[in-house]
Amino acid sequence: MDVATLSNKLNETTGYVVRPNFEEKFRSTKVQEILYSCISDVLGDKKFEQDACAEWTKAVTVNIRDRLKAANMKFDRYKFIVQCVIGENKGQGVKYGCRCLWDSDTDGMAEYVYLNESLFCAVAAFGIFYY
Amino acid sequence: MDDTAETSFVVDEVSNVIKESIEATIGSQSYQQAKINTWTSNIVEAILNSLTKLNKPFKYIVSCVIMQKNGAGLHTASSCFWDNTTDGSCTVRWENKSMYAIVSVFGLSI
Repeated sequence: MDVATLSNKLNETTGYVVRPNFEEKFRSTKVQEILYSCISDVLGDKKFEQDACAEWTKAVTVNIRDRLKAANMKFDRYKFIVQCVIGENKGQGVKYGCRCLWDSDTDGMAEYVYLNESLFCAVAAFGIFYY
Repeated sequence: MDDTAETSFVVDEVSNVIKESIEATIGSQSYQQAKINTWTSNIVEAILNSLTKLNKPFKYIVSCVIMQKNGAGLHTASSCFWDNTTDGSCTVRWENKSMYAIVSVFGLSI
């Protein structure tokens, strides 16, 4: 019997599930691929434009959130937060930091920073398990 | 219901916590490349500590962006998939003569 069937059997016998299986867990590397592909789709080779950027940030976050919700990802018990920052690349200094108070066994985060000559885009996606 | 105040995200309370932390850390300072790492860490950690003291059954995510003022534009957006009745977020935008700070706090009910 493999690990997945074993833990499923355990869940059936004990009832309520408080820890996700390995396949259903929020894995940063897997989610990072989604972040990368969503950003490339929306931003590609675009130049920074004040008005268009407002639309791009919304499009990127909504896109990523919808892809995380999709059934094939198996994140059934997860709540998501996706945050995106797009700024003009003019040589200024920027710092983006975050801290979380959560359960490190079940929750996780994935991040990606995209840089081109006229703009930068930093995206962070958080997955929180709902008990 | 009596317990909604205890188990839902109260935006005003959190907003005050954020403003105090920002003022305490970078209130009177000018942008300095060398100190920026310490500042972001301090702001975020101070906010997280104050939030835990509220003793609510929440998981928190606190994020902070500090940017030097040089005429460049910045946009931020966030999209969330959660329970609207119990979860919430609060974002505070702060500036002084040399930099901008944008702090977001997300609270998710357990």
